[in-house]
Amino acid sequence: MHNRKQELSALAQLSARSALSRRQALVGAAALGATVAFGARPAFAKTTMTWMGWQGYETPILSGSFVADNDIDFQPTFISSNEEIITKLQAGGIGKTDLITMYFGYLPLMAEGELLEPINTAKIDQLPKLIPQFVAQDAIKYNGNLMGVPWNWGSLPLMYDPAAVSAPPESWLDILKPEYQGKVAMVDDPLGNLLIWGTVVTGKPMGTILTKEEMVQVIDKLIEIKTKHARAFFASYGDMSDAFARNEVTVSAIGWEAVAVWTQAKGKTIRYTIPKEGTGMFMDCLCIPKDAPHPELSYKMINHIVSAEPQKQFATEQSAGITNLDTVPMLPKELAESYNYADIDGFMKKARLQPVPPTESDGSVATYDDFLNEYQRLSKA
Amino acid sequence: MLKRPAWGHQNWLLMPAALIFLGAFAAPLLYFLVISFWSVRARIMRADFTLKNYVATWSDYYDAMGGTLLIALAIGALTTLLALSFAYAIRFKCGRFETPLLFLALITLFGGYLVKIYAWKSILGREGILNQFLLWTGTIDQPLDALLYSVNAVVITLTYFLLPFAILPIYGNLRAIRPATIEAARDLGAGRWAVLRDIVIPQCEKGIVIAFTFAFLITAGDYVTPRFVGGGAAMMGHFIELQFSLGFNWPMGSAMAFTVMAVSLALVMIFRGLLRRGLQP
Repeated sequence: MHNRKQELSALAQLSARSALSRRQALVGAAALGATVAFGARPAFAKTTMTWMGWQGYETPILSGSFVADNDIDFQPTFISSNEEIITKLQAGGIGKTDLITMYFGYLPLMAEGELLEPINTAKIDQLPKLIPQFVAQDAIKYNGNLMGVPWNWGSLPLMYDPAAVSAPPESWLDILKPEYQGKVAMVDDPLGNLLIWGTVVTGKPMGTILTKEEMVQVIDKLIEIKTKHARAFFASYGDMSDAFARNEVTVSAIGWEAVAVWTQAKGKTIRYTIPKEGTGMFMDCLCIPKDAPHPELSYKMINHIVSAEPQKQFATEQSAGITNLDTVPMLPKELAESYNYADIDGFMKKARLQPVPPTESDGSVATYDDFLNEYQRLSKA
Repeated sequence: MLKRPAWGHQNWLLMPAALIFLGAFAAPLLYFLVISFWSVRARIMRADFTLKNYVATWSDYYDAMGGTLLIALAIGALTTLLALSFAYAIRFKCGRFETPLLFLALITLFGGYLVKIYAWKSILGREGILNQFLLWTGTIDQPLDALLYSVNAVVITLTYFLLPFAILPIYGNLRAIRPATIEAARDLGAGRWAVLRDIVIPQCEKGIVIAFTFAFLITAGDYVTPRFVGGGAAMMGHFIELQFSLGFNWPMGSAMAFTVMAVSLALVMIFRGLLRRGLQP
């Protein structure tokens, strides 16, 4: 229900932040004036740009001569989960962070929490070249504004060790077979687990839009896997890769194509498959945090990241899906086929983009808070 | 009678340190205490006054808090016991090896926290050094899975990490005990246990309390080690982190943090009281 008081309070907070920004801008302008006047600022000083994202995601930024051409002192902060970005922005990162890369599902929550600036689409000249199915997603818009630019994507396949598993599992439920007991890998990825097991347990194509009873059933199933079948509930996908490399696990209850690349780098080959129930799909977006210190450079950086050549470099180095259609013909054939760029709609039927559970509900659908409360049962189990 | 010195200019030299303490420690703590009574609506903090966060902490997280404090007590007790044994041995039993052994214990502080976690992962894993050794000696015929990704792994890793911090304060107290005192007690007929109970432990009581406090409090607040080697053994820190990140609920996270802090401090005070009572003649 619309709450005028809440809205006014939110606006007051926003105003306070804006006022702070203006003060900072005035102080900055005064400092700049002084340094220019006294000649203290050396002509070659670089602009420090702060970025947050997964390790490897900085590849397109550093490709070519973009950083040097724009006199940028690039300062990356690597994360172990998307949630870490939310925490860091809330804990003082606002006003100090130029660019983040974020899972699309969290964008509405972050926009509601006043952590993001709306994207000025007029400044993204690469936008018409991006895969339209991704740009059209409602979940990356808030109050009619685009909140992030889609730049890479992938699915959450079932990972398995071909040395221990003779044929690719056909169903997610195959990991519950006795021969895999104690050898199943799980990852503490709240939304990722729901994307897959929401569908597997309920049969609904959108595994994130469930009733409260269905949400309980999904978490019960995950608790069963964790307590009876899993080797461990790993903190990150990197940990899962380590466990595959050390032969601790043979199949997984969740996955990511990049895990196969990392594990291969450790000398171990693992494969992945999308079981018959399908899986979740992720799409990461480039977002400008609230009060970003160098917004023009942030837009320039976004345009660079989603341009053809940096996208190609990222796709080939990380075995990732990219969004610029101009890049697709430049990709190695095997890579282009594995992501099925020729039939994106078909791929999206097997691996579905799903929103996070709604923030409010009339009681018929489990909310995001209901999901979090249930997920904590899984954490405790 | 000594005259109390007036507030002199030399005291002003303490001001920078006091300001840093107030600004970097006291003020943030006060901020989190204040917001622990606030609420969250539509992902935004509202300046209310409510106790519901504290009530929810006890009603929803009593099990996680109980588990966390039990693990912290176990690690605190184990670390203190090992530290006391090690410090006593190098102080009174190892002669000229005293300094090299102390240096050996402290040199482990140079390794990073995460490096130690990953080192223990490679020691305790299914194909780790320990399992390989046990297989080689014929002690086991199948690798032990329970060594890693379990509470055992959390206890082993944190005890190893905390040991140098616990050794130092106890060893510092033991340095003040002259070997001649112990020899005199033995000459007068005191047994080993009597020497330990009546001479050694009373004189290093403060060191023992500090060692236990360090180990207990660091464990109670830790959430990284359980995530990496616990295999899903979620401790209270994990749930607090969840409120600050995915939950967008800083007031709840703050209330949980202050509750754990208060209960932990109470337990430390109880430990201190019990130790003092136990040492009374």
